[in-house]
Amino acid sequence: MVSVERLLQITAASGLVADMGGFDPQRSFKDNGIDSLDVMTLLLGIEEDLGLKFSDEEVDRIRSLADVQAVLAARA
Amino acid sequence: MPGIENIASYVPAGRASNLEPALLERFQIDEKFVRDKIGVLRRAVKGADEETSDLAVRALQALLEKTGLAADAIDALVVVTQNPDTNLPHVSALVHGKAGLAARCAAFDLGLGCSGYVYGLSVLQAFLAGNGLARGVLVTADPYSKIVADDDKNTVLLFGDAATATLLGPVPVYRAGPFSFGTRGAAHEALACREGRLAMNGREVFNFAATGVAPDVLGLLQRAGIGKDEVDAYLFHQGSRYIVETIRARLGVAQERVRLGLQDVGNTVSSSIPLLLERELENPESRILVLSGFGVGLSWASCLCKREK
Repeated sequence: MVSVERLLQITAASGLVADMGGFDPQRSFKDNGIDSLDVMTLLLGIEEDLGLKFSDEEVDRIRSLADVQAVLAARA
Repeated sequence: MPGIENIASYVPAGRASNLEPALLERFQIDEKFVRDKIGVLRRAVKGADEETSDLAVRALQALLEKTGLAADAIDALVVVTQNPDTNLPHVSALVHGKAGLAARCAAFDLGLGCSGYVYGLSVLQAFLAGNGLARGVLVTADPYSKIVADDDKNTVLLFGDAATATLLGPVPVYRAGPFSFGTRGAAHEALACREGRLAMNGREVFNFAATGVAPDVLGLLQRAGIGKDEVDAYLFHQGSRYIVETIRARLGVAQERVRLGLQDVGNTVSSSIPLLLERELENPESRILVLSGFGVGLSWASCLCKREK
């Protein structure tokens, strides 16, 4: 299962978050200052980094980085 | 091989603002998002009484006025559209009739979306060369206002109406080629018209453009033996400011080399690249260009353009 730490590394590498120190993986992307288009970039970055594809149904369940972890855990 | 001699365009006078407070409230977005991410402040909207062929004729007439070319000097007319006046006849026949082109002038349509202009350049220049014809006109006219629903956040803030006409002939300013093409037909549902309304899976279209365009352009440049920093200007299809910036970043080229032109018209589908190219014709510093269109299909096409004079 992918760790939150790994997802945070990918988020940091995306350059989408100015201050990773203030980024809370439990809070929604919106509350972390990531808009809907940047979420697409982040999810694509996660897909490329981890070598997977999110389905539309999975994306519908993702509002936060913690949701990404939960979606991937549900695959196992 | 014929090349690009001139380009003219017709952008309808009508505009719809993306900064209307009611619209921002309805879609829960702010002005900064519209300016910085979508990049479209106003969308060009055709008149209710204007048909696709009318837009095309206006662009063609502007080209004839700009060049002084007689209508009967055109040997071939190609219209790129997926929103014709009617299912049949083809729009190019309507334009042919309205513009009074010669009976010997070939006329056919290309059913392509945002990749259509680059495809059209390749098709028309080969058609002219292969048949010993001197001059052809490539028209783009694909008014999405016909199919975009006002309540669809995914599309209504993006698309605008416009038409362009490109003259291909024996004394070009730009010579186009080599070309590259591609299709992900299995993903065609990501951008489609269903029951008369446009439907777009924004994430799938974004992923397609973000992952597909830069490698295609790099492959094209490698095949041509040209470095990415030798290109004076990149003219990407103007899907949105965000997608253009994403492709630029993935390609790794400076912002000043990448053109943006959707702020006051929107994403004009197959017209977006020729609207940009029309400006480059007036810029003698722009000697090597990359054109890349991508969208409906999902389809993409890229080419180099080298200045001849």
